[in-house]
Amino acid sequence: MTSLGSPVARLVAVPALWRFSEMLRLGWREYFAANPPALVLSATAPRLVLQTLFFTVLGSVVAGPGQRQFAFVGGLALALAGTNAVNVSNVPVTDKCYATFWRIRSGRVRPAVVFFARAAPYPLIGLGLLVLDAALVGPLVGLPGLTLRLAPLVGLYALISVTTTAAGLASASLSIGRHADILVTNLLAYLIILCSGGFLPPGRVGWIDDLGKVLPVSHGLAAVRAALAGRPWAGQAGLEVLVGLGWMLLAAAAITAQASRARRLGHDDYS
Amino acid sequence: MRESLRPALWVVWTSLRTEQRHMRGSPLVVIGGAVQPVVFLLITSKTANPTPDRVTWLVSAVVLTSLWSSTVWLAGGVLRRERTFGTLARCVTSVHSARLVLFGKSLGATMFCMAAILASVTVTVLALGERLRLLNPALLVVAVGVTALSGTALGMLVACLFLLTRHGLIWSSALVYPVFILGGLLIPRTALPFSLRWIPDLVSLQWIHEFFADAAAGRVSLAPLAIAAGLTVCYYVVALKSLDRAIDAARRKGSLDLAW
Repeated sequence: MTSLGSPVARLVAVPALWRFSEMLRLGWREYFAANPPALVLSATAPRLVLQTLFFTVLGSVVAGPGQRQFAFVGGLALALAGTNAVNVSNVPVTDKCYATFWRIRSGRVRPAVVFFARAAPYPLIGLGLLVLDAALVGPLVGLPGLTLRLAPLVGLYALISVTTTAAGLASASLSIGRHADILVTNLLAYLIILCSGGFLPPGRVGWIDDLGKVLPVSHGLAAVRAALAGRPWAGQAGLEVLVGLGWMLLAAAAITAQASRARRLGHDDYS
Repeated sequence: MRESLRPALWVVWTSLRTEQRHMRGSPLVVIGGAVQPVVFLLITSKTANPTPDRVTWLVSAVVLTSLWSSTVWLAGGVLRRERTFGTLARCVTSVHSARLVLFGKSLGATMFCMAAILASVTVTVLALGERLRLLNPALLVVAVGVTALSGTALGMLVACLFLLTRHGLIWSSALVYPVFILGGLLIPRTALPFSLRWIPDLVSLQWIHEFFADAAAGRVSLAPLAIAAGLTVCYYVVALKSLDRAIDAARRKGSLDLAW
């Protein structure tokens, strides 16, 4: 193999920006291969809308109209548990299915960076679907005013969209070697539904609140609710950022460890 | 082809056991049979402080709601999985009727899921210290039997639908929530707009839920159970006709294992 010189020279041999854009492009192509736009609009989006509608109406049934508003604000974030936390597992699963991980770990860019770039469509599409979800469900359940009040807070939902994706990628990367990615990512989604304060108000069950503190969504939703009530919300948003960074670090560590094991043991099946 | 009873029962039993063995390692059983009902029960019972009657109502609704999602994901996926494994053609072209294979597999999946759901909900109710109003055992057995047969029929219906598309997994998740909302289970008929209140009448699980809800209120009415049984028969007829049509179409196109 011909040497390209120093590490710096190797890095600049192919412009970093081009490499990153190629990774992003691959991510989008992968996303739409697994989720064609027609399918996103005909199956994924309706599921999101129906899930939010279900939790909103259920809130009203269980605890009255006050809970309906609470459940609507939370239900929008809970919808991301499925689209982001569960579906982003496609990124490592695709490499496992098609035995392409060796090409990623032997490339110039760190595998974790490649995975993060390929996961980029999930928070973006998730946020787009969430906006559609809010626009459709809000008026349908008689909460158009609340929907409009939520519009300026879309940035907080974008943050939640990123943190749920990071948690999903970390969970999938940690569990794929044991063929447990479906179980673990779905478990994560249900833990988010249970512990994030999206439906069940905080303060009811201690251990559920404690668990929620390290899961995505909880602090972000607390920030949304604080902003709606006119209270300071930046602290909770900061905590959501920290939780998201924690999950990203975990994902990076899991992917890096996997690449290292694969080099050492000479296989790429994640086992 | 008319089958004699003994070989037919053998086919059903073998299909049932094969499906149950396959399901032992399935993560979807853990999620649909254990995680989802526990989460639904916790969030609905802890959001408000329900009375014992209301807890019984909630438990019935959660069990049947989870049964529906398990039906879609597991019983509804039996033929899709056969196609993925490349064994669909053998299932539907053997000397035994494909109807028996589908019935056995769907029954096996439904019974497995029901056992998981009932176990997880029982443990949760005991852990929460909630008090339930229980039916007399004979009626409970009848109601559980009707529920199992109804879930089986629904699973067969959904399984035939998934023969028509390669995106069965995504459609599975899209199919779950319409019944969650309009099925008359966790969201009662009275919470629906007036023009939609006829829809729960078409869902057998809703009638079973009504039977349990009546029983929780101290009334035993067999009419809802009879209606649920009648609807279950209708589901079987539609499912078997759909299976025959799907297989005929696939044979004509020569696309049994690649039918999308």
